[in-house]
Amino acid sequence: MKVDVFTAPLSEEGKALLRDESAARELLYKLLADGSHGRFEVKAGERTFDVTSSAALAAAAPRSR
Amino acid sequence: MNFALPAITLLLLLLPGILAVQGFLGKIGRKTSDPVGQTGVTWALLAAILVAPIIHLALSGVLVALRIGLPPDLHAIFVFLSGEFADKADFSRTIDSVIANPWHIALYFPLAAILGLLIGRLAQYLVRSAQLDRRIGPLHFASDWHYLLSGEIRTDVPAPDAVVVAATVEHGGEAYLYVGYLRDYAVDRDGELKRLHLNSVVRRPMAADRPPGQKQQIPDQTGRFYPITGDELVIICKDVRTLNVRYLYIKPK
Repeated sequence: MKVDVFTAPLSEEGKALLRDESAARELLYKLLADGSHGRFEVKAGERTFDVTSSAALAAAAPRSR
Repeated sequence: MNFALPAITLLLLLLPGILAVQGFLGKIGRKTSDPVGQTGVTWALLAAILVAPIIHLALSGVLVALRIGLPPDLHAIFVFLSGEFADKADFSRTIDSVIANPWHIALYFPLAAILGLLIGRLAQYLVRSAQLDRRIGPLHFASDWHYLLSGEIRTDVPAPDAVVVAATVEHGGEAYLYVGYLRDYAVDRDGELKRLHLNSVVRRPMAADRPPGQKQQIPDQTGRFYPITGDELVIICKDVRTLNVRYLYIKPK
């Protein structure tokens, strides 16, 4: 059966971080260890990235009632 | 010899509407083939029937106004559509009308079809840009997987910079948890998720769950999770039991 292939969202910052395999895995382990869906700091080569998960972002966003 | 002229004429007339609907639906709306009641007509075809006359009216109106087209011969069109060719004089007049303007007719229908496709694509672009499909139910496209895996399930958060997927997969009689960064995903024509393409994947057996009170160590020194080597892991979704999706927002510091 034919399928449609979609590309998942991946920004330039995301590409830069995930290009570093060890940084990508470190971030995964941080996500897995995170009980409160927080924010993380990850070093990829010379660059440092602030990573926010969706749950933390949603908690910070104002909600309409 | 029977050329099935009414069917060919109907197809030519509806083609701009069909292409407009297909252009609007695109890859993320292909599943929209639900029937309208018991009629056997799909919603997509019904929309095409409604849209096609509008495209013809607009295009022929513009062509006539620019003096590069002729007013449509509605009499000839209805003769072809009716399939009633018993009146030889009427049929001869209709055929003559076609023969007198071969280039106009040969160019008009492809032009109308291309216009239909462009209008459909433009309409999809406008709906997606204004996020109308996420706010108005009837404009929601059929592929729910697209909305979930693209981070478009909520309107109050921006598009993610990366997506992490955790999937429980059964093989060899045991369930495993795979976690990795989503690169691509494939959806079949029925709207079902077929494959997940993941990068930088780690996995653990489901049985090796974390004991209460024990914290995940970074890097994972407990050995519960271990990395899958390789550039890309493809998970066939018929083996997937559950999916957990987390969107990441990444900013350079």
